[in-house]
Parts: sequence; structure tokens; C-alpha cells
Amino acid sequence: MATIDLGKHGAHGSAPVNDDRPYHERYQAAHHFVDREHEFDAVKMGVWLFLSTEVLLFSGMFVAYAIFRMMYPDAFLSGSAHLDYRWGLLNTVVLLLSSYTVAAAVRHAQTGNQKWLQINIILTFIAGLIFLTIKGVFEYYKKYSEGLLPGKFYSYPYAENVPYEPLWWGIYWGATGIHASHVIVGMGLFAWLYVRSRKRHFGPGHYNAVEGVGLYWHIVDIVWIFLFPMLYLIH
Amino acid sequence: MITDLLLTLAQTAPAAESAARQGQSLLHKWSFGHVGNSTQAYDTEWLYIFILWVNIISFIVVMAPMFWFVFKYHRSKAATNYQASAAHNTPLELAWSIIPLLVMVPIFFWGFEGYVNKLAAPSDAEEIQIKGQMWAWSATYRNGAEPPPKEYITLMDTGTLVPLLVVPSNRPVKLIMHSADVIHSFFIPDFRTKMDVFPNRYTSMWFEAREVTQRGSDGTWYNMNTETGKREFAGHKVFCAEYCGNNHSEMAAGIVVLSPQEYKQTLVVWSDPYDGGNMPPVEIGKIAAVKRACVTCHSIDGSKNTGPSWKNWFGNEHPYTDGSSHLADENWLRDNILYSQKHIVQGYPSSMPTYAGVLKDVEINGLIEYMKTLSDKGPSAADAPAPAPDGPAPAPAN
Amino acid sequence: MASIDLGKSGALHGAHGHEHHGSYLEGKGGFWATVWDWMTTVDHKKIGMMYLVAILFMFFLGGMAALAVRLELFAPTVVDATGQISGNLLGQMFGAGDSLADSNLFYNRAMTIHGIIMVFLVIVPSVPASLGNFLLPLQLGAKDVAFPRLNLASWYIYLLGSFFAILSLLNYGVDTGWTFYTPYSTTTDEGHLRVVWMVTAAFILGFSSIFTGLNFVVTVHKLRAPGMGWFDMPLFVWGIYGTAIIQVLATPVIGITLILLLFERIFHIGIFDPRLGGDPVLFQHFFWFYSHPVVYVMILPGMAIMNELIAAGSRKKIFGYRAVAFSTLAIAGISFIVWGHHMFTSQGEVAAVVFSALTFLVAIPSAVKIFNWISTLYKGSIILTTWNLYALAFLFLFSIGGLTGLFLGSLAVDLHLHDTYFIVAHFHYVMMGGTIIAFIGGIHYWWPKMTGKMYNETVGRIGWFFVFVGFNATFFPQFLMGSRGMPRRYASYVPEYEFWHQFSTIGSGLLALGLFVHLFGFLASLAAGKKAPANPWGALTLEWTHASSPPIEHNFEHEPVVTHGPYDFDTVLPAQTKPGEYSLPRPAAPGSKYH
Repeated sequence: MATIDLGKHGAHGSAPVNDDRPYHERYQAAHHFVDREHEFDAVKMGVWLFLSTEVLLFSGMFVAYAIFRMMYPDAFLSGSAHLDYRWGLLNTVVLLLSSYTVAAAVRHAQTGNQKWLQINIILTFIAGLIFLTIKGVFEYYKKYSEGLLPGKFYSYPYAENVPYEPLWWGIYWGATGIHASHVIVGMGLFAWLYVRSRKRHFGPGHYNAVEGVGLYWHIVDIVWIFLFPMLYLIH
Repeated sequence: MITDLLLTLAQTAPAAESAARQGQSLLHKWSFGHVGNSTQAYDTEWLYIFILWVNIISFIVVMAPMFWFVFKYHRSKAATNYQASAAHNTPLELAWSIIPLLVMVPIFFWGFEGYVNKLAAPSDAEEIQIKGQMWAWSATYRNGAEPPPKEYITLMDTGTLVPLLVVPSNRPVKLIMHSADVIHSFFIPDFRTKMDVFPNRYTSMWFEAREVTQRGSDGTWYNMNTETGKREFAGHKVFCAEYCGNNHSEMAAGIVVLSPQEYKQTLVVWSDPYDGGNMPPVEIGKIAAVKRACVTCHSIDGSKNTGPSWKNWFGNEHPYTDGSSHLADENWLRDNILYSQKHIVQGYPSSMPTYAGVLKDVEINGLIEYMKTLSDKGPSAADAPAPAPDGPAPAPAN
Repeated sequence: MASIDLGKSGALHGAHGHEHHGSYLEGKGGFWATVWDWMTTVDHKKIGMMYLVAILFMFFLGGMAALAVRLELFAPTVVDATGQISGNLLGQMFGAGDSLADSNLFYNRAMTIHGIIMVFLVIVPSVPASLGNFLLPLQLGAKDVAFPRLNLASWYIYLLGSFFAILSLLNYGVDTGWTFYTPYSTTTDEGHLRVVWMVTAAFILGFSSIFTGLNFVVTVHKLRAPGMGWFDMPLFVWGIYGTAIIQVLATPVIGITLILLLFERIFHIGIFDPRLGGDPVLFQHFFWFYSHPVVYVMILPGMAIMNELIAAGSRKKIFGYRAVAFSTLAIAGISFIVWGHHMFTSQGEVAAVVFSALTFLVAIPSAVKIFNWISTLYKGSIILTTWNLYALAFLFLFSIGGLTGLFLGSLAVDLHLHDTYFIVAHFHYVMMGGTIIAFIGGIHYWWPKMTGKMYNETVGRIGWFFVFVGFNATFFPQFLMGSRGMPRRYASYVPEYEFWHQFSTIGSGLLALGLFVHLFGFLASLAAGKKAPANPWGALTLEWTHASSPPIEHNFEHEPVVTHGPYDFDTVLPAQTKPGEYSLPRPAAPGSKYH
């Protein structure tokens, strides 16, 4: 405790100016923590709490899905039939692979393997990009041009007059849209991680950010693992 | 299954009624003003007073020691300072956790019983359809009768006319309710009950009114309150209790309780408000304007309301939100009443419901004739040709 | 009898001009440098103070809206035979005096603005974000909250949310009611963005709430000073901890609800719109799944403050510390399973019965707290400072608020009272008579610590008197109106309620007067208040015993090591900076019967 210099009060403690060690080695925990492990524990707990809020956010969407599926099973069947499960499956595979790469990134941060840390961050970013491309080009755009839009904007010319099918599209666009926005945020975080990893900010002693973003990305994956069968597979 | 169980429970309602009728306690008078007028009302009032006693006793139990301690152990009394006392006392703490719980068990149970009693209507109940719509209630009886506008009453000082509903005494009445737009709530304070009214489902409530409403000395449904010098409605007020927009506070109705014979006779008279169409169209229009709640949004004196005023509307050009403007002639008016969402007048919301399938032809004709009389472009009442009451309806424009 | 000598740390403040150990309030060079320092600060104390100022400003705005509501209701709106309107005071003020509908609209907006500001911008953040931020690390013996930059982010998110709310407000606000019930909220005010802005504001404020809560949970778990176990924490911390848990677990649900509401309003996706197959009752379930727990986000911090005031005000250990701590957690837990009691008139019968039964459960831990506080007074040494008067007022008002909840939990009676003034009176007795009263008491109690100045006790007591009398005059008549059937959210009313409405309006004037007296007292204290000693009340929590008034930038000269409980008044007597002035009782002489 006593060794921590309280002279400057940034959120992160700063090291002596003439220290040549890489950032992750000279990094000191913020002044109100005892040490780096203490800070790491706190960060991890904070991230987990945040993830629990994410789960609750999506659970609202799942409840809406369950209730309206119960009320209008026909609309959900007919709506779901417009989705091509192959694109959904491909996206699932992409996200699962990205789950592996992000786990690898955390591992390489722990061992201090800078090169593979950066490579895995880039790979995860690319996976997010592929996911969004498939979603945007082959699904969203197609649905948009066919008029398979939510609620009032539903204008599919060959509709079989299933009552409340527009409501299904409300659920579909709502759920996947909120999920896609999380993917976009995740990609932003990976870009930030990449910039920091280029500066060798992460290593065995300090990889809070990699760990936190990694956990967030897993949650984004898991939500998709639920969305995929709900929207594409259940008949 | 559950309904059966609930019904069985409902039959064991406490004999609160006679107790409630035997004069009012002071607490009752302060809480309600007067005794309610339905079976369930007595029940609810009895439970209310019970809970009120629980409240009063608990409040004294908490406050008396507080005031006593503040007095006794005030810091100025040095001798009392620093008396060691226990930091906790398990039996005491258990007691004040468990005793309140025991008190609450009957409150819950009686509340549950009364609730079931308010929901599960007897199968022989007289059914009345209630519709809520911004900002008016309407009712349809089993023979198709509807409260006629000439019977409408005012509750508020704003003079807003609200429908007068009649119910038979000593007979279960079940209200089957739905809404045409947003959520409303049908609240009858004197029957101590209410239920929300939804646009996508029917809800229901029932009551059994006891005492027949007495007319005032002048034969109307009003009494003169000698204290305030104001006329007061003699029957039972109905309010909308779920916030529904601008004139939420004007959305009311009145209920009068009739003897079964008078109730029957009234329904027969009410089933034909336009006297078989044998009235002058303008008179029909005047009645329809109130009955169909047009006047809650459209004034007839030129003042601005939710919708444009009917004063000088007929025969003049008006701008619409799509940029066009159009002459309000008979065809145009008819089309815009029936399909109100097609053209929206500039400066007004698009909140008017469509009336296709709702208004009868005789009503539409009447409304248009009525609007003509309100306009300086319309024929004056004297030289207006009297159209045939049952004449063929003009074809809608376009 | 151990004695902690605080003479030194009191004198440290500014005395030997040590740069690093100046008060956190000290400027940083020039005016703009100081402004920039506050804008970019990660110091929990400064963030807490900025919240306090913002929340009090919002309280002022919401209070003005409340006065507007009471003004309109002073007289029923009358339209005479010639069509002349009178009594629509609010409508006339805004130049809509000639139309009943327009004039009612202004009432509906005032009532909505009052609700939205008071709930989302005042009561929810009030205690946790201001006093909680300031005190949590101090009471735990920590140098800051766990994530100081996230804390600053919460503050700016709060400002962003307020910005959207005020944007909507400046455009005449919205008339949806603070509950945003569909389908009214998705169809009203067509063609305007005001509702969208307001919902966006509530959504953004949710993030602020989540981040604050998350920060506090981690802080309590990870940053307690050495020697401070869970049951050595002050009960204020317990209360804030329970609040933070609810904030983290309930707010996401209002997040998704408001997103869907925005989608509904903008894209008409149909989930809540019955015309498209949606279900308005689903909205109510979603809404109250958040908004009921949030009732406890509002009241738990008030209870948290109460613990500190009652203990310090009677110089006694809180009776049944563990029971109070566990009742906090019990309330937090039960709060998640009673949301349906807001919907007894709109949901299924079986659900209503279950929710009614569960609702009665939540009364137990609340009652336990009341009983424990009353028992704490027993054989205490009670002082009637402004803040302790507020603590006693809390007991009085919250008892009424809590007990009247029994009427509403009971199904048959609730069918009569639901959506009447009885409800309005009930939740004002809990929210204002509970939380805001405790908040004002807390501000007085910690004022010397936060500002380093003493407030004037006489002014404080006069303010308290008007607030207490005015509050009861405003809201007690509303119970009577409610049981007689006066529905809420009415711009006008039938004449039989006129007397009580006028009574209530006059009461609201007294209440406002009391609050302005407090404002005057605080401003006078800032301008010319006496310098505060480190521990004017002789309290035993760390912010009083180990930090100067106001605290130094890093809170403590030396990391505190906790050697006594927060309420060990029996065994610990803190040294007084100025003996006599805020007289504390002397310990009983050894051998006397009180020793």
C-alpha cells in the first residue's frame, strides 16, 4: 500500500517516467486497489454483473417471443418459413469459431504471446464482420426488398393472409437488430483492443480489458445460440 | 375447476351487509361519505373499516413509544444517557415479525374472497354491453336499446353530457366491456368496484344494486344540495379511472337504479331513439351527435376542441394534411365521417374513429342536415326542403 | 472505554498548507482550471456533489410541475351556459383558456412531467447517486468507488438523459403519464417527436442507473477497509448495496421495454399495439417488472439514511443490526415477485390472487425495520436537530404510507381504490414522506461533511416544520378523496371534492415554503456558515471519525483500520472538536448504575 505513489490521481496509477519495461509489466493498479490481482478481481466482477444485465435485456425479448408464439402460432410458422436456416447455421458457425479465437486471445494475453494475441483479435473482428455481412446482405436486405418488414411497414405482396404475421417480423427484426447492435459494439471493442495490443498493453500481468471484452463476446455468441433455433428452426 | 372453487368460496361471504346498513360509524362517514349501494359495496366497506382499525392500532403501537421515547430520553435529561440496553432481543424480534403476518392473513383472505365475489357473476345476470371510447362511455342493452341523448346528464361543471344508464334493482347486472381505442377503466365509486377496459379483449364485472334511485323534487335525476346550492346527481356516478388523454376527466356516466318493472319499460322506450325515423332529420342529427359522442370532440359554437368545430364547416373549403383542400359538401362530409382516416384536416390529430358500419344511414343524413343548419352556407332552417326520412342514401364520393 | 482522538485530523484541514492534503473542494488554480477539474474529475465526492446539485435542480423543476398540478386543481373547471370557461387556471396560464380539451392537455402534461422528472430524474438517482457516491467509499474506508471513470460516465449519461427530457419539456412535454401505458403512449401526440425524446431520456437514464449500481456492488464486495467484515459495515452501506443489486437486475428489463416502446412508436412493430395483434397488458407486465423493484430502489436508500440518523441522533447501537441488514436483502428479493399488484384491475384472476399474497410478504421486512428503529430510540440520548426531526418525521410518514398499503394489497378493497387519489396519497407518503424526507434529513446530517460548513439549526427546524405540516396537509386529504372515489389524473372533478382539493393545494404551498426555507438555509450556510468540525454529531462511521470536514482529496490521511463497529456508542466515545457546542452526553461515571 504504502509504496503506491498518490501524487497523481488518474484512474490508473502511472509508472516512473524512465521505466523501459512494457506497459503490462510496469502497469500499476488504480490507486484505490491494493494490487493488480485486486483490481483484476473487481473488474471481472463488474463485467459479470454487466453481462447479467445483458442476459436480462434479452430475456425480455425472449418472453415477448414466447407469449406471441403462444398467441399466434400460425403467424410464427408462416413467418419463420421465410427464413433460410442455412444462412442462420453459417452465422452460428462463424460466431462459434469467433468464440474460439477470442478465448485464444485471452490465453495468449495471459502467456504474453503478443503476435498471436493480435492475430486472434483480428480474426474475431473479421468473424464479426462476416456475421454482419451475411446478416445484412443475404437476410436483412432480402427481407427489406421483399417487404417482410415489421408491423405497419409489412408489405409482402404474396402474403397468405395469416393474421398478425407482421407481428412476427416485429419480433424477428427487433431481436436480431438488438443482437446485431451488440455485435457492432463488440467489433468496436476489438478494434480498440487491437490498437492497445499493438502498443503491447497486455501481458501476463495485465489483461483486464481482453478478459472483459472476451466475456462480453461470449454472451453475444450465447444469445445468438438461443436466437438461431428460436427464429429459424422451431416449426 | 378453479372457477368452481372460487365460486364456492364466494358463497361464504360474511354477513357484512346488515352490519353496514345499520347506521354509519364515524370512520365510515369520513372514509366514504355515505353507504354504498350494492351487495359487494357493503362487503368492501366492511373490510376497509377492518383494515382501517388495523391501521389505527398499528400506528398507535408504533407512534406512542416513539413520542414517549423522544420525551423520556431527550438528551437534555442527562440521567437517562448511556443506559446500556440490549442490542437485540430474539423473542421480541420474532414476535414483531410473526404477529403482523398473522394480522395480514385474514386481510388477504377476505380481500381474496371479496375479489372473487366481484368477478364471478351469477349466470342469470342481466348483461349490458359497455364500450369505452375517447372520451365517452356507451351502453347497449340486450334488446338493442341504447341510452337516448335526451336523457343525457351532466356530472361535471363543464357541462359535458354523459349517458345515463339504467340498471334493475335487486338483480345481478353483468357489464361486458371493451374499448374502441386505448385502455379505459369503468369505475363506479358507489358500488366500490372498477375494471379496466381493453381494446383487444372483453373484460367484465358485475354488481347487484340494492336501493332504487329516487328522483329529485322537480322530477329530474338531480337533488338540490342546500349546503352548496348546487344540483347533485341523485344516482351513481361512473368515472374513467385509467388515464386516456385530454378529456379523461370528462369521461363519465351516470347510473340510476330502477325497479324491475320500470327498468323493463324504459328499455322498451329506449330501443327506438329516433321514433322509427319519423323525426325531422335535423332533430335526428342533434340526437346522433350526442349519442355517437361527436360533440365530445366537435363543438357547435366555433370553439376549438380535439376536432374542428361544426360551426360554418359545411359549404366552406378546408385544407387537409396532404396539401389539398376541399369543399365540405354533403358527399365529402359523408365520406369523411365514414372513413375518417382518409383525409385529415390540417392542425388536428387523426384520432377520429372510422364510422363505417357504426352509424345508421338515418343518422348520417341527420348529422349532415344538422351541420348544414350550423353553417351560414347552409340553407336557413325556414326554406330548407324537408328530405324524405328514409330516402336512398347518396353514394359515397369517389 | 476506548477513545479515538480526532483532534489532529480535524486540524489537518488546511492547517499546515500541505498541497496534497487539501480539501477536495479546493480550487485548482484559475476559475477555468477548476471548472475543467470538476468536469473531468473521477473523485467520487465531486461526482456525488455534482449529482446532488443536478438532482436538487430537477427536484425544483418537478416541484414546479407539482405546484402547477395543484394550482389547476384548486378549483374545478367550469363551463357556463355561454361557453365561457373558468377554473382552468393552468390552461389560461398557457394561453389555451378557451378550449376545454387544450386546457386539459396542459394539466395532463404538467402531471406527466411531474411524474417523469420526480421518478426518473430525482428519486431513482437521488440518494444513491449523490449521498451514496459521496459516502460509500468513505464509510467503507476506501479511496474511491471501484470504477471511478465508469462513475464519471454514469454522471454524463445522467446529463445526456436529462438533456433529452428537457428537450421534450421545452417542446411542451408529453401527456402520456410517467407510466407510458400503451396504446395511448404510442398513438398520442402524432407527428411530434416529444414522446420519442422522453422515452429515449428514460432509456438513457437506465444506463446511468445500471452503471452506478454495478459500481457500488463491486465497491462493497472488493473495497472494504481492512478489518471491516460484512456485518461491520454501516447500515447505510447495506441499504445502498441492496439498492444497487436491484438497479443492476431490474433496469435492463425497462431497457428492453423502452426499446420496444420506441420501435412500436416509430416502426409500429405491433408488440404492444392491439390493432396489430399486440398486447397492452404485456407492456404493463414488462413495465412493472422493472418499476416495482424500482419502488424499492427509491425507498431502500431512504431507509439506509434512516439507520445513520437514528443511531447518531439517539447515540445508540441500532437495535437488531442483523435483522435490519437481512430485511434489506429480503425487501430487495421480494421486490422482484410482486409487480403484478399494480395490475389487479387488468390481469388474470389467479395471477392477481398470487400477487396479492406475495405483496403482504413485503410488509414484514418493512415493519421489522420500523420496529427496530423505534427500539433504537429506547434508552437512547435523543437530540432534536433538524436531521433527527426528519428521521422522526420519516417514522411518522412512512408508517402511514406503509400501513395504507394494506388496503391496496387486499384485492377487494383495491378494486375500489385502484387509480384513485388513495393511491396517489399512498405512494406520496412512501416516496416523498419516506425517501425525500430521509434525503433532506441526510443532506442536513452530512452537510458539514460535504461542505465543511455548519447549517443554521433554527432555519432548519423552521423549514422542517413547514415541510412536515405542509406535506400532511397536502396528502392526507387525498386519502379521503380517494376512498370517496376521486380518480387520479383528472384535470377537473365533480364539486363534492372541491373542499379537499383546496385543502391539498394550500398544503402544497406550505410544503413549497418549507423547502424554500431549507434552500435559504443551505445558501446562507455556504455563504456565511460556521466552519464545521470533523465530527460535529459525534457519530462513529468512518467518514466522521477518520476524515476531516470536508474530506481531503483522497479521503483519508492514512488508510483506516476498523477497530470498532459503526454504532458502538456504548464503548467508544469520539473526541469532540468543540466540546459543548454540539453537546454530547458524558459517559456515566464508573460505578454509577448507568455505567
